[in-house]
Amino acid sequence: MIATQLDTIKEIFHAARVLEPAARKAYLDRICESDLQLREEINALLKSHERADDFIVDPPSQLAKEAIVSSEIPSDVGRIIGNYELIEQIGSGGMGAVYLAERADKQFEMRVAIKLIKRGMDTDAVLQRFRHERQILASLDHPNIARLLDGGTTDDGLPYFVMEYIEGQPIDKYADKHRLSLPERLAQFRQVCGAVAYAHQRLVIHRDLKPSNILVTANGVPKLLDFGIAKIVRADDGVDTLATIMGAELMTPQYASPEQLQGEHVTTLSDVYSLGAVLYQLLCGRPPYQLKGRSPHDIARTIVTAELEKPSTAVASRDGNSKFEIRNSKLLKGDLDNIVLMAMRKEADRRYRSVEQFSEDIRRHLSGLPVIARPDTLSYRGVKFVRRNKVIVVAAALLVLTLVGGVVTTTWQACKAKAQEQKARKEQVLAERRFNDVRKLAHSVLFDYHDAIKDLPGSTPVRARLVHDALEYLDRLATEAQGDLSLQRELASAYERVGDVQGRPLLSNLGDTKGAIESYRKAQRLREAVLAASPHNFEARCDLAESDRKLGTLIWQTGDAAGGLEYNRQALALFQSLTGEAPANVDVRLKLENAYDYTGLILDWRGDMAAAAENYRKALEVLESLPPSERNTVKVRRACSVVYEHVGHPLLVMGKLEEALEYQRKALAFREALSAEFPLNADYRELAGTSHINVAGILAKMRRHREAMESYRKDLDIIEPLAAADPHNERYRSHRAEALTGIGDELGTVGEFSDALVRYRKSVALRAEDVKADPSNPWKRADLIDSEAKMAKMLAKTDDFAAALRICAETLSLIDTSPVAPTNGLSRSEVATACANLGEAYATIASNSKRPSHDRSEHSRIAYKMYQRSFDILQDMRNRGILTSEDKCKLELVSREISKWNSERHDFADAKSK
Amino acid sequence: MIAALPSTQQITDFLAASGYWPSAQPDETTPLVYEELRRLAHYYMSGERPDHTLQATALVNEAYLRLLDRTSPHWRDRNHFFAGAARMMRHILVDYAKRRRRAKRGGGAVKVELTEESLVTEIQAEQVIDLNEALGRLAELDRRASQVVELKYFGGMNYDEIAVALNISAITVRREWEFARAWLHKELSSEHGANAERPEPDWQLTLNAEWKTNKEQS
Repeated sequence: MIATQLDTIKEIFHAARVLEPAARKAYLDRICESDLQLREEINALLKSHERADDFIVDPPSQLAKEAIVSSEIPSDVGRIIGNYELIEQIGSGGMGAVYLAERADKQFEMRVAIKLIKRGMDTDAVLQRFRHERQILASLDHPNIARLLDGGTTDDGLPYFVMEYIEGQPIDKYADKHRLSLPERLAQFRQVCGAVAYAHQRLVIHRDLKPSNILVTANGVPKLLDFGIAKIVRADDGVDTLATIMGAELMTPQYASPEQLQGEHVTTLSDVYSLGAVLYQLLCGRPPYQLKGRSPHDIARTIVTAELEKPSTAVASRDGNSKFEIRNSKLLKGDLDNIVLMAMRKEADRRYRSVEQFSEDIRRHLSGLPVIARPDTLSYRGVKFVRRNKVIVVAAALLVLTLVGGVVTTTWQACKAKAQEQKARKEQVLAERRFNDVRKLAHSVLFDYHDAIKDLPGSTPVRARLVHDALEYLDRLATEAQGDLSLQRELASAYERVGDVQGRPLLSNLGDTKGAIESYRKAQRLREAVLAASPHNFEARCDLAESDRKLGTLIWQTGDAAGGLEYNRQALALFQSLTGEAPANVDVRLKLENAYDYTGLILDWRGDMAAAAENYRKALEVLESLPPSERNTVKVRRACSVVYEHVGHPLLVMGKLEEALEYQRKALAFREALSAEFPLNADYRELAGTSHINVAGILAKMRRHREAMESYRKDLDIIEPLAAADPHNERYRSHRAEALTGIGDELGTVGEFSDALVRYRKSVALRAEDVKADPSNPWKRADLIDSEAKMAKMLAKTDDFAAALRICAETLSLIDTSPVAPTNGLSRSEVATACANLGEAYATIASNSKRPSHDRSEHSRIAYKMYQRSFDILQDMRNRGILTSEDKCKLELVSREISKWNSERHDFADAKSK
Repeated sequence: MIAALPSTQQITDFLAASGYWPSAQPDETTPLVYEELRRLAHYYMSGERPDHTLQATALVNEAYLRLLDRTSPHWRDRNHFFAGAARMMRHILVDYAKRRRRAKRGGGAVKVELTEESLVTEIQAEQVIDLNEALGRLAELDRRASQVVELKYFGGMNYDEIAVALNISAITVRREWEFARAWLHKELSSEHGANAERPEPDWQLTLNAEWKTNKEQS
C-alpha cells in the first residue's frame, strides 16, 4: 500500500464512520466506484471500528502486575540442574528465582532450594566471586543458617546456588501468625543474632538481612537464608549501588543500611543495622520508614538522613483495632526504644560494636538488668558527626586485637599440632580450611576495622597500639614460619597491611614513615624468600613487585627520590613482564597502571616533566586497554580520573595550558558522572571539587579571570555542604582555604582588593585552624604563610596600613619559626612567594605619600629585604635543581622588583646629592 | 495519591537547558521523571484495588531503574522523553509476555493457578504480543498513527497530552486513534480468523482440563 493510497483510505474511513448505514453505503458506492479492493479494505476497517468496543482502551494491568511480581516466570520447573530436578518455584526477586528441587537420580531423598540467577546480571563476575567465596560460605555450619551446598553454571551459562531447603515463614509473619508475645519475639530474634555473630566471626557479612531472608520452621527454629550471596551476586568492587540494591529488592530497601545506600564499604556493622530494622518490624508490625510511593533517591535520602520514629511511638500511633499483638507502647518505651535506635544509628561507628553486644543488650533487658543503649542526646543530634564516641573506637580496636592475636595464634598452633599428630587426610583438609578462615580473618579484620576507625578524631593512639601489638604478634609468628611458604606469604601480607597503617603515602596513616618502611622491608624479605623457593610462581612475583612499589613510594616520601624511583622501576619491570604473561589478569594490569602512575609522580616531583608525562601516558594506556566490562567499574573510572589529573600537571608546568585544561576537564567529567551516580558519596564529590580547582588554576594562568573565579566557586558549592556536615574534617578545611585563596588571587588581579581581602581573611582563619591541629606539618605552615602574606598585601592595597604592618610582622615570625626541608620544593616555593608578597605589601605602604618620610624609607628598605629573601630561596632551589618553570617565572619577577628598587634607590640618591 | 504532574513546559524548559538526562543533573530531573513514571504506574493500576498500590510502586521502581540504565539513550527533548517512557513500557510488557509464552510452550506440564486473574493475564499477554507485531506493521504504513497508539495504550497519555507531545491538534490525535484502532483490530481479528482453523494452543487445553478437574473436585 503506498502512502497516497493510505491517505485516501483514511479520509474515506473518517468520512464514512460518522454516517448512518444507508448514507454510508451510498457514499461508499459513489466514492469507491469500481475499486473493489479499496471498497473491501474500507468495509473491513468499518466493521472493525463497529466491533472494537473497548479494544485496547484499558491498559493491560493484569499483565503489568504479573510482569512485576514475578520477574522470572516458572519456566525452569522440570529442568535438571546439576544433580537436581527443579520441582516448583518458591520465590522470586530481582536477582532471580528460587526453586524447590530434588535429587534427579532419586538415589536418596533430598530436597534442596536452588537459586537461579537471572540473565543480565554480570555472569562472569558473579561466578568469579562465587569461586572466591564458596569455600568460606560452605563452611558456615550453624543450626540457624541454611547451608550453601553447591553452585555452578547451567548449560546456558546462568549461575546457580544450591542451598539447604527450609520450609518456613518469614520471621515477622510467623510471629504474627503464632501471636508470639514480646519476650518470645525477642528470644527468637536473639537466636537470629547468634547465627549472624557466628558468621561474622568467620568474616562473612550477610549484606541483605530482612524478614524474607529469615524463615522460621514449623518447630519455631529460625533459619537464615542467602548468607553471603548478596556479595557474590551484587557487588561491583565491594560497593552496593542504589540501582543494584533497588534492583535486587524491587520494592524498597527498608532494611539496607545508610552506608550501603551511599555506596560505601559494607561491614559487620551494616548487618547490625539491618538486624535492628528487622527487630523494629517485629516490635512495631511495620517497617522502620514509610517509603511507599517515593522515588529511589528520595528513599535513600530518607534512610541516610531522616530521624527514625521510636518503636514505642510507632506502636502508640497504631489504630486501636489493629490486630497486631503488641499494643502496649509502654512495654517498648525506654530500653527497647534505645536498643533498636542504637542498632540503627546512621553512623556505623555509633551502633553496637558487634551483633553479640546487640544481642547481649536484649538479654540484659529481658533479665531486668540495665542496658548499654542510651538515647541519642539532643546535643548529639544537633551536631551530628562531630563528637564521636571514643569508647566505641577503643572497643572496636580491642576487638581487632583479640580476634587477630588470639584466634590466629591458637588456631595456627592447633593446625600444626594436628598435622604432626595424625596425618589423616580428613583432618588435614579441615585444618587447612580453618587456616584459610583465619587468614581471611586476620587480613580483612585488620583492614576493615582499621578503616572503620581511621577517620575518627582521637583514634590515633588506639591505632598506634593496634599496630604495636599486631607487629609483636607477627614477629612471633615469623620466627615459626621458617620454611613454611604459605605462612610466610600470609605474614608478608600482614606486614604490608601494618605498613599501610603506619605510613602509606596519600592515605590517612599514622605518620610513622620509619616504622612503615621497616614493615614493608619485612614483607619484602619474606616475599623474596618465597620467590626464591618457587622462582616462577606468578603470585609470588606479583607480591614482590607490590612490595617494591610500596617501599619505593614511601622512600620517596622521606625525600630520597632517587631511591624511591629505583624501587618503583623494579616494580614496574616486574609488572610489565607479569602483564605480558597474563594479559587477561585485570588485577595485575591495574597494579601496572598504579606503578606507572607512581613512577610518574616521583619524576614529576623531581621536575622531570617529560619522563613524568611519559609514565602517566602509559598508565592511561593500561586503563584504556582494559576490556569494556572492566573499564566501567567504579574503581577504574575513579582511577581514570586520577590519571587524567596527573597527566594535566606536566602539561601545565611546561606551559601547555590548553592541553592541560583539556585533561583536567576530562577528569572533572569522570568525577561529575560518578558524583551523579552516587550523589551521597563524599569522596567523588570532593574529587570533583578538586578538579574544579585544577581547572580554575589553569584558567587563571590563561588570564581568564572571571572563568577561573567561576570554577573556584563551583568547587566551594561542592565542598561547603560537605564541610558543614563534617566540620572537623581537615581535608575539607584545607580544600576550602585553597579555593578561597584562589578566588582572592583572581579578585586581586582584576583590582577588586577589598573583595579579595574578605577571601584571604577566611582562608587565613581556616589555615590557622589547620596549623593548630597539626603544628609540625611543614606543608600546612607554608599554606598559612602564603595566605597571611597575601592578606597583608591586600590590607596594604586597601590602605589599612596598621593592620597590614601587624600581619606582615606575624607572617615574618611564622616564616622564621617554620623550618622547611631544603628539598621540599613545594613549600619553599610557597615561602618565596610569601616573601615577595610581603615585599609588595611594604613597597605599597612605602609608596604612599601621606606617610611620614622616615617610615617610608624604612619600609622601602624592608621591601627590598623581602624581595631579596625571596630571590635567595629561589636561587638556592635553582642550584639544587628543584626549580619548576613556574618558579622560574617567580624568580624573574622578583629579580625585576629588585633591580627596580636599586634604580629607584639610585634616583633617590641622585636627587639627594643634587 | 497522585501528585501534580510537572507542566510539560517545565519538562521542556528543563530538558532544553540540560541537553540530556539523567547524567546532567539528576537531582533536578529525578523528580520530574519520577512523576512521569508515577503517572504511568497509576494508569496501569487504574482498574485495581487500592491494596495494589504496592505493585504500582514496584512498577515505577522497575521502570525507573531501566531509565537509569546507562545504556539508555539520552533524552533529546520533551517528545523524545515521552516517547521513551511509552516505548520502555512497551518493551517491558512485550518482553515479559513473550518470555511467559515461551515458558508455557516449552516447559511441559505447567502448573497454572486457576483464577480469573490468571485467565485475564493469558489474554492480555497474547494480545500484547499480537498488538506489538501489528503495531510494527502499522508503523511502516503510518508512523504517526502507530505513535499515537503507543503513547496512549502503553504510555497512558490522553488526547491533549499526545497532541502536545506530537505537536498536532487534539482532533487529529483522535482521528489517528480511531483509524489505528480499527486497523489494528482488523489485523488482529483476521489473524484470529486464521487461527481458528488451527487447534487451540497447548496452554489453553491444559487450562481447560484443569479447570474441569477442579470443578469436579469442588
